[in-house]
Amino acid sequence: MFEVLSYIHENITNQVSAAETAEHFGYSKWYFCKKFHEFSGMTFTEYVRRYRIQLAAIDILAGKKVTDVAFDYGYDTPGGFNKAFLKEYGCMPRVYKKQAKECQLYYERRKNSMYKLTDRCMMLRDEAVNGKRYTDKYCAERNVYFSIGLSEAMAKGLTPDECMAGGVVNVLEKFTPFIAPSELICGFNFGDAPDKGESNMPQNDEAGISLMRENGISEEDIGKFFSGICDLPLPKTIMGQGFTRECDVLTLTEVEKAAKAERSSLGRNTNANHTVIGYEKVLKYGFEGLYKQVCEYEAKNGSSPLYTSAKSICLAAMKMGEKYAAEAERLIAENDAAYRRQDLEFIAKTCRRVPRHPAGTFAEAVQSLWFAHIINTWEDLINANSLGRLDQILYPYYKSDVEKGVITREEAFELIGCLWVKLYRDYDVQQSCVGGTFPDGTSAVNELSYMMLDATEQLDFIRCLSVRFGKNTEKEFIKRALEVVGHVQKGVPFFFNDDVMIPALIEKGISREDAYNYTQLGCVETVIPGRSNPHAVAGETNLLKAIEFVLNNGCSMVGDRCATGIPTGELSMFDTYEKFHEAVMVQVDNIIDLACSIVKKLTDGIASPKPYKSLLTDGCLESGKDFNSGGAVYDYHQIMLGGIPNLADSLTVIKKFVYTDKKYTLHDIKSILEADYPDERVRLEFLNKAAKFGNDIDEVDDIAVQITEHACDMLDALSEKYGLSFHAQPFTFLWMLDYGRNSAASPDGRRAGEPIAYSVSPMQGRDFNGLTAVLNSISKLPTKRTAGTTSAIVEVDPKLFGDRNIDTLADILIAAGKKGLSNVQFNTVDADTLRDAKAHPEKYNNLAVRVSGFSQKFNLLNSDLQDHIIGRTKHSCL
Amino acid sequence: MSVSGVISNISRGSLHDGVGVRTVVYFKGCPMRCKWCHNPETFEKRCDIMFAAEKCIGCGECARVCPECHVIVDGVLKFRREGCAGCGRCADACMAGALSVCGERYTAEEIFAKVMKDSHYYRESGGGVTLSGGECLTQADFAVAILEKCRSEGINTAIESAFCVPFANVQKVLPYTDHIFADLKHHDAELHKRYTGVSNDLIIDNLRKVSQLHKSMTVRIPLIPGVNDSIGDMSGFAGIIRTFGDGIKDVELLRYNYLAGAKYENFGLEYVSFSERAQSDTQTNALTAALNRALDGKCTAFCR
Repeated sequence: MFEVLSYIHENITNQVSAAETAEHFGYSKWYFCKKFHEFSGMTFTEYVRRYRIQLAAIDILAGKKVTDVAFDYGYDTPGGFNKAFLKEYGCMPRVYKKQAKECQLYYERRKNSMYKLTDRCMMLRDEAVNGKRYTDKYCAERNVYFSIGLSEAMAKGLTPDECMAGGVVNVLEKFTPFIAPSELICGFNFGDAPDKGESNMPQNDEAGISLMRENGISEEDIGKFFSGICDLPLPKTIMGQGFTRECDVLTLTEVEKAAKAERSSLGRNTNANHTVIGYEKVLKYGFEGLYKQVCEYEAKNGSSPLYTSAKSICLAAMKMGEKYAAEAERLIAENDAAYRRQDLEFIAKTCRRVPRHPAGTFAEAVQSLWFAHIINTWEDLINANSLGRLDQILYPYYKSDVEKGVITREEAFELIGCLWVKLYRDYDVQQSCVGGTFPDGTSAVNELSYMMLDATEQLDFIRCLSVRFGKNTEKEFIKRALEVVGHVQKGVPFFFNDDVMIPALIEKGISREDAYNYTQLGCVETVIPGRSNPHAVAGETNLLKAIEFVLNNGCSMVGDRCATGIPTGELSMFDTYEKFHEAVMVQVDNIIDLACSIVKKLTDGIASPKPYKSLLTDGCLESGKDFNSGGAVYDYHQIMLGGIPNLADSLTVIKKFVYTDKKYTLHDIKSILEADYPDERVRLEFLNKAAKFGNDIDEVDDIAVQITEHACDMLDALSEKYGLSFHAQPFTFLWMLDYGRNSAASPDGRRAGEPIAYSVSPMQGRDFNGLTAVLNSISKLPTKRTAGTTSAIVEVDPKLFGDRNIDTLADILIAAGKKGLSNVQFNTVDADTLRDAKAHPEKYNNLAVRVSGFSQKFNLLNSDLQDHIIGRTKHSCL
Repeated sequence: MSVSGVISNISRGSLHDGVGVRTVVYFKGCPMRCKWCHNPETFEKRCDIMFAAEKCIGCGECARVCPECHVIVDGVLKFRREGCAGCGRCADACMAGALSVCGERYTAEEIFAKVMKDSHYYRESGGGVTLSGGECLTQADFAVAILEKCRSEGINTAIESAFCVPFANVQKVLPYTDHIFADLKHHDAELHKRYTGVSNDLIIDNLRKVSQLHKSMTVRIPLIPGVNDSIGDMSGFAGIIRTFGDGIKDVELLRYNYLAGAKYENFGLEYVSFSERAQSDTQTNALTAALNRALDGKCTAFCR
């Protein structure tokens, strides 16, 4: 019978008939038809008709004209064909073509980039995630060589810029060019061995010395390290904060110190490892070209420590590739295994060129970028030194290579896999970003954007990858990204909305072109790559404290009960809700002012030069000013606004019970909170009988909007007052736990010490109107004023990300984007799994969750954080 | 005067009850009593008091406002349902949220306003409103009023019904409904009566008529372990479905909801568990294949 089928298939375009076919195989027509029906479940004519129509449908999709196709398959009239088509597909051929087009496009795209990662990548992945042999091997090198270089420069009495450069240059000169088996992209950070904890900062004891010896550090350097290091203000210097003087040398007021201690307002010297610098310059000019550029600026502006430092780093960095090339050649001489020889020759060839010269190929670009990143992490460690829009940076090299036939798509995909593995860390905030929009409004998505999603999916580990989307982003790209969220189940990638972020940045004085090039660093901090110093998470506020300060006339209600707020008067004065609300806003202003004031003092009082970052950040060489001394084109400070959901919930409770129902007085509320809800009934009443943020209820959402608007106004005013540019960032990182610990019970039904809400996500467990309602609530916030991103994590049932739902999920994301959603991150692990993982960690080694702006293995979180995440509402698809 | 009706719940962001993002409105009241029903709160049209014992803190506020039906025993409420008129005073007094009222009367305008909160999601996804229940066609005029308003705003409309109602009720909603989910519980009249309390004659008769009038319908079969989830049952269902009109586009098999029991307790009802788990993928794949074979091209069956 199968022969019969293939006979039919071969003759399908002729008028194949049952009689003919029966004759061909030597049966009677009647017997043949009976047998055929038994076999296929349909009559001969029916089978032929269906098969024809199916083939015709394929041709239609391939772009043939419907009338031609009808003729090809033996239909005399288009009418007859249409009728047959309608019967089979339930619609006319033209409609089918239109419907299938989008679907088809999506699958083709996917198919296009659906290369399987090679065994090589999978082996490297295993080493990075589980083995960690090579990350340990030279883990002390960066810290030791950096310290020696730094202290030797200090001993010579050089300027701070030159001392920092001395540290970087010494690492560049001394590091071991180690090439691990199977690698195509080489280079290790040598600064990070998470399992070893602090031990890669060797102590002057037996363990420390033996670690250094294991790491191949010479006896001479060991001696130098322990003699030089004692003179330095440790360990801050080594940890990358070179020449940071701590707050105590600053003139913090008593109030500022108290606010910092209770974490209502805090300033931080984020002068280190939180930015995206212009790696593409290394790709474009090479360190040799950059060296010449520095010389030109020096000739023009006169010599300065910045230029001297930048030049010395360029000179040392030029030789970085050559060290690896020499190592590869040494291995070739030693190793006669043919398969490895090819790899090593590839490495040698690449590293002979970059990073000294401009990258000429895709492979050189990837290698050069990785080298440029390593040097960056040698200056001030890995942490949130991020990479930016990798699909955009690498695309020109990829395109030209593919066009010229230098590289196949599969080979390019393997190199992306190799880079991804290099970036792997258990705690990863080295963010990179794909997608986005060009300034002309068209989508910036390219083939690499898809490949990077694919690599993330297949490697199945935490890669800090974000997706920029906007109204002109192809839906199939958004769908692909959501699919990866569903398949990887580690909260990556996460999403940023161009239609909100770009106007927000332009509002803050960033040029249109630069705003379109925004990206994120670390968790969710917005940065203009290669042109800004964003001072990420510079200021911290816990706005929930405002309630405490009003109720207690300017004083905290926990701890030392410091007067960190300002006296807003006796409670009896607040005879209307408006008056109470106003007093709360006064406290909000004060909390933010304190944080900004501390930030201002740190900014003025601290010199923390970063010569490498200055080299790769526009504005610094031009102006001759360091990256951390206002050299960058854009210099702004992001001020975190924590506690907005809890404050809105609390104000709603007070409005209802004190002013509308008049069931409690403010004095009652104060004593209830002071005593941490002695009567559980009252707590439940406050919790259950008043509206809560996150349920699309205007009454409470509007208050959240008012608070945020107010805070943004205040930050604008403070920008004037302090002469700095403050960007609002409603984001808590994972400090919602600390804020909660330092806050008294709040009127929203939260007990003293309990965590507050993450960023602007609803307070955990209080959103029960479904996914669309949560997104509506969050989207109401004035996101176009919060240039530092309004962050939100939404917890969803993993089933929601089932393949059948992806299309509608993409619609939800797009619709929420149009409503004003700024950032959203999805957690896709159900609560039962999390509970089980808490009880039986050994079963869940690869389980990871979105914690705050980053994903982390669940087992590595402390118990408080685990409970916090379990407590968040899981939205399902019903 | 505006039309009003009683509903138990509105759930937003549903992805499985029609095209795109849906808001599902659950009507209260149903002529059937399917033993596996996972919305037992919609059996009666009247307001019910729902009591979630695990939330009760035994504070006794309910007993203070309504001692007739509420007694605290060993620190937990003993709720006497008989004699309860569903006035809801106890739910107002319950701070812990253990007692709540299920069933509220709304006008069609009020429902419409709630539905419209997600209108931007409908626009993007082609979604809209789905009226479910309970049996939404027992309150046909109310259903029509909601559907008509949604239609006039260009919002996609769907109903889910078991069609155990007079055909006149069905006819009312047809002009305003884009898609129909028709529940079919059992192919065998005898067993249908045993498990749902009513015969399937009227239902099948209605479905036959509707499927000739309406162009876009999905038959939904809830797979109940041991009751209607054998390969033979699939032929039984197919035999009936094949007699329906061309309006039937597909058949959806729904896995058994083994978690329905908890709700029964909250309403003081008894629950018969048919199984501890839902049908496995292997099982549903086999059933889908069998049903597809038996449907013989009439329409396609699928299971999520």
